[in-house]
Amino acid sequence: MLSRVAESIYWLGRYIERAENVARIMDANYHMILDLPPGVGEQWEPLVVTTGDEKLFKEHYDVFNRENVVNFLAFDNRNPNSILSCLRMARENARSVREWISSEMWQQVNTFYLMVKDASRQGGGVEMPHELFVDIMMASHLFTGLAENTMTHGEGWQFARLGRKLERADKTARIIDVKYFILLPSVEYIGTPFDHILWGSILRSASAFEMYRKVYGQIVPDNIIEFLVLDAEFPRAIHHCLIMAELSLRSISGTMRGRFTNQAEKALGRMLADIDYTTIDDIKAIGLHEYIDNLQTRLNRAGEVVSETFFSIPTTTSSTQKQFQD
Amino acid sequence: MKRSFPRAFDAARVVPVVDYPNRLLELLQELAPPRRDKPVVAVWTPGVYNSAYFEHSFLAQQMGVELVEGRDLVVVDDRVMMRTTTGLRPVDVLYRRIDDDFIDPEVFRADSMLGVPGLMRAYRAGRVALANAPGTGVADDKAIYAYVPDMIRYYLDQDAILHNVKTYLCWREKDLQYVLDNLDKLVVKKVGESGGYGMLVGPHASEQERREYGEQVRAKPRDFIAQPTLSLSRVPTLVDDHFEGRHVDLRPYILYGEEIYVMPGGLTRVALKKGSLVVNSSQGGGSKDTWVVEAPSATEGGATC
Repeated sequence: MLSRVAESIYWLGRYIERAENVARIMDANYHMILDLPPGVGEQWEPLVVTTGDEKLFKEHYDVFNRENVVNFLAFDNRNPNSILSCLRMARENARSVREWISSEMWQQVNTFYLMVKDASRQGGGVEMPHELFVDIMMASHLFTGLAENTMTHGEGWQFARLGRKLERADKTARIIDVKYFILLPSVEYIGTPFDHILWGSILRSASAFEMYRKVYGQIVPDNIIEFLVLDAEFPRAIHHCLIMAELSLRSISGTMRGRFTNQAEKALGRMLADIDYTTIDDIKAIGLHEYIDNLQTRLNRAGEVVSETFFSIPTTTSSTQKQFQD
Repeated sequence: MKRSFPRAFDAARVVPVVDYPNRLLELLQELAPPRRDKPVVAVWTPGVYNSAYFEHSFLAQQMGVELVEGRDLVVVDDRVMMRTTTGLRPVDVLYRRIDDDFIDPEVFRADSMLGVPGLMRAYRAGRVALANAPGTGVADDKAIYAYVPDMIRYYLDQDAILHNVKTYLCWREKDLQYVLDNLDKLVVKKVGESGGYGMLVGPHASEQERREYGEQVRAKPRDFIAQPTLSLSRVPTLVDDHFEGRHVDLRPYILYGEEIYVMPGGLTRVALKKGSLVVNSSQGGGSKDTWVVEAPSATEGGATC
């Protein structure tokens, strides 16, 4: 498969997943605000902090209020990670690989993009954001479902899944990290019902609330972390994402588990092996925020190595397009 | 059409055109340097921003070959290679949909971002085939048209079966004078332009437009040809809620390989502006489905739009 084609399909998968997750993070915050104790106030800054685009935000906005943050994360063209920007990039990538993806997928990328663009024109859905965010998540699910059922599960599809799973692992890590930045009025709040509300909303933003309940029942922070980071079967858990990403990577090059033939397999395989044998106590020993931080760094590195291994084949000429990566 | 009116399609005994991509692929494979059993063919597109990109992508998909851009290709030891996820892979035949000027910055335009440095070296070494060959674009020069009957006479010693439209070459003193005297009756075109740009439809132009155009022709006669204004065929066309006549022309598709294949169909272009004779899509023209209908007796046939 052409490197350019593989790269476009990979980024198509990543951008759609990224758009969905930005909507998830915002939706979770909306719900959290409704449940917060009086006097705590709305907190929007943590959302921008977790996306890593704090500096960019400050260049264009004064205050972290609802309107600014929703606009910045959902519709702002100046933010390359806004939902609209992600969908525009997804569409451009899809356009260049139309003969590889199914026409159903191509149509869905267009429908998805136009839906968010329309919302952006009509004042950005600031009035009814929840409906919009749900529509965005469902549009993303529809796209993934179409990819699952209308595209041959060959090399191209594996690249799409690799992109999607790496992106999702990163975003689940960020969702967990939101908690770290949320300010409670005082330390006494930790362990109170309000604290549980925060944890509950984190589960919800990963669509994990019901599945978590089935496994653990009670809301216990350690269990929630264990579920979202270490569960091997829940589709948004980081461990699960890495299992699937590594599977795709090995399908692409035909390598057996436990061996590697390129740097991408080495980086991702090592990371997976690590998390295979990690327990919640290991995470607590390091500290949740530090653990997540390190995980994100390694995920970024894995993404870079994938790009070096498959997309920038060293030759005398190079006009490799480097896509935006945060 | 086939999806919207399956029954009409069936009743009209339309000759299928689905064979075209197969024929094209066979032709391209025939061009391959004689070296490998299974030549690798690729369609070379300028990229997604080209107006014909959809066609490039569709053809590649129908032929089951790679659709490549210049940046996917690299020349190593006079061989053209594709950059793939498993390394470099050789290409034997490129069906190029990109102008001569841009194909190789080492030989032609040095500022070409779409081209492949070293491509012409590989081509000269006979290690890659290009379709069409570099230089064939000269046939797009509208002045060539005037000489076609002479070419037929020279190579085949026959007269053309289909007659040419009378064509005046403006660098001939006599033709130039006639063109300038009869601008109100003629269609004048720039030889190097396409897409309906830079042309004058005399009978539809104002006095002033004709005068200005005449000055351009006088200044650079080599750049212009002229033909009598034809009354192009008209076909019923849906305009809002009713039918009106609109002018059309027909573009056939012919593959010239070891044998000649004329596709039983074509592109009918229609001028959507009332009375207009300019059918180019870049000038607001549209297209119509084109059917070749199988006649009950095999001797008769005809094109209908």
